[in-house]
Amino acid sequence: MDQLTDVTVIVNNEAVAIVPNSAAYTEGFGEQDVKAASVGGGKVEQVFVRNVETAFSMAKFELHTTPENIKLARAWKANGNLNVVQFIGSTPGGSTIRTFQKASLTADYEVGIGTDATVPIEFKSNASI
Amino acid sequence: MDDFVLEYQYDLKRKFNYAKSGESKEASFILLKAPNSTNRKECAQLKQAFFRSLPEPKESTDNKDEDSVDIKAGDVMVLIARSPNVDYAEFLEIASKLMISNVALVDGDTKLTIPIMNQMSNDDVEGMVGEYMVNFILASALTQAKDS
Repeated sequence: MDQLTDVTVIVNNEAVAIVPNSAAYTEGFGEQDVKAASVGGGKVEQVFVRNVETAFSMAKFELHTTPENIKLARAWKANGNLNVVQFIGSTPGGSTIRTFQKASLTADYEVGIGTDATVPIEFKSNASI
Repeated sequence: MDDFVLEYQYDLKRKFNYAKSGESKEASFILLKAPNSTNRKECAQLKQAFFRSLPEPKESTDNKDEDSVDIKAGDVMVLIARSPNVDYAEFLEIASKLMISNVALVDGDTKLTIPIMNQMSNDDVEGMVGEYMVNFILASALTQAKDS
């Protein structure tokens, strides 16, 4: 089996060059829990709980601080929740494609200035498909 | 009479998904727009490729009406692909570069980009390029030939 070490990131139909090893995402299943329901006699049954409030995906990566990337980040932020992000990764063993619809940059992202500085981008979106 | 076409709608044979307004939508057609002077280099290269692919004209005593020749997109692409004088792969690369320079709009409003083109079937890419050649690049060349 091969480790997935890099992905093609596409935002609004345009490929984006990211800092290597900086991409990550969550599936968007949300938080889940199990609670106990007592049936007496010391026995419990399981009650499975889904917290739908947390059923959103996160897709993040970093960009090198360049004027072009700063312009891109501004455009994504201004676009509100009308962005679509895709992560496409493949290894000899298979491929993984995740699409994040209605994606938005909710945080006021920080633009780092310096030799090793980057622009960390984090989208929140509908659960990935 | 103005023979120049400004737009042409190419209907996709195989639909694909693209991003629009925060959602994945299924594309139906590509709206092709006439090139302008910013595309002159690619247009010149494609036009030259077509003329290089034409066979040498032969002397003929027939009095055929050559103005009535109807060139179809598929014929143009086959002619260029079969020509030993043209690198067909290079031709498609130049055509693709032209397509993503804002002359092709998915469903009439979303700019065609490389990730979108990568989802198109090969038949659709060649069909789209063929229609662009016939309706825009060769239309201009044929009009010039008729005028001269």
